[in-house]
Amino acid sequence: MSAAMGGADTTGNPIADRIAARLSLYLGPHTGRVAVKTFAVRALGRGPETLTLADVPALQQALRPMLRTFVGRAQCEIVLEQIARELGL
Amino acid sequence: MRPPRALLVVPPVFAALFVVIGLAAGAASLAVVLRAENELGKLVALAGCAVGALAFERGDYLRRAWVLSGGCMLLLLVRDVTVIPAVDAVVGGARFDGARGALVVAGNTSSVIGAWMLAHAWSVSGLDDDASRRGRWPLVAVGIVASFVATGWPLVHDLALLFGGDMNAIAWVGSDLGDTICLALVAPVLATALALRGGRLLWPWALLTAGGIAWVLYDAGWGTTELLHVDRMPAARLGVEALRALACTFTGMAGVAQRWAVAES
Repeated sequence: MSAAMGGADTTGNPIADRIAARLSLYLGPHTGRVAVKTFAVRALGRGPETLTLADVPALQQALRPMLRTFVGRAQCEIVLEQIARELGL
Repeated sequence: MRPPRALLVVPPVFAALFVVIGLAAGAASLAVVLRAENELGKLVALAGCAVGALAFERGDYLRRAWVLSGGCMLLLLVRDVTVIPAVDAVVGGARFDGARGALVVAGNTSSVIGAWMLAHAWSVSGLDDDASRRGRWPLVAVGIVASFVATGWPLVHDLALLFGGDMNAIAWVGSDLGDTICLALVAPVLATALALRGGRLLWPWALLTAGGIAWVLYDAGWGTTELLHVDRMPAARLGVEALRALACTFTGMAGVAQRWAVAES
């Protein structure tokens, strides 16, 4: 993961960090991490440090309204596809 | 992750160019220069809002916000067309005042709803939580105070005209109230820009904030020059109108930045 995408702070979970890095391109590193944490807790009831690949579809679903608001439906789906591709899903 | 440099350079260059042309034109031609700046600024803002709206699909939240923000400029431009002497002669002069006032009020209503939607995008996105709400309140409070300071005098002035029996002042009171609300909403837009720092989406929100701050300064400058009775002095008028030029072009560039931010992947 590039430093530009990831920022200094990480969750220690490579899946959460990868998703946060993708979101940070649009939202910035701080809000990218906050988004992963916020929606992981809302969708899964657990923090981002516990994320597994099996959790990703539910997290993507939770991220969708936020992404649609800021980048629109079309770009939202592209970002979610990029996340899935980067995680090998 | 910087946007095209032109987005940042166009507003100050446009404003500076207008001031230079205004100074070169002299007092005799100042009214023409001011009118040209006013309409050109609105056209830039309208075009930028259209570009911003087209970054999204029909039904997207921010598309509606950009359409409403641009709608204000469109309605004000239509109103301005009706005061062109040749058009005024056709559409009936003073008998058309009510329709002109309605266009101003409708434009300001559109602007207020658009600004409200932009200010609430953060909450709509679901990123709002107790911590971010607590962090935003001081900014919002400052924004509300600043908006009342900036628009207080124009509002008092136009209310006095209205209570003095000038029914044309209804439109200007509506415009003043619209300005007050829109300026108060600059603070949450700034808070969103700050939250997005380091990301592509910072730029449309930062440029929107810059436009909003320029509007605050424009309203404050207009009120101050009138209070000091220097509002007819060419230098004062140029200085205040340069702020309008900045406000309009920053808004226009924000729309372009929105498209740049969303389009890149």
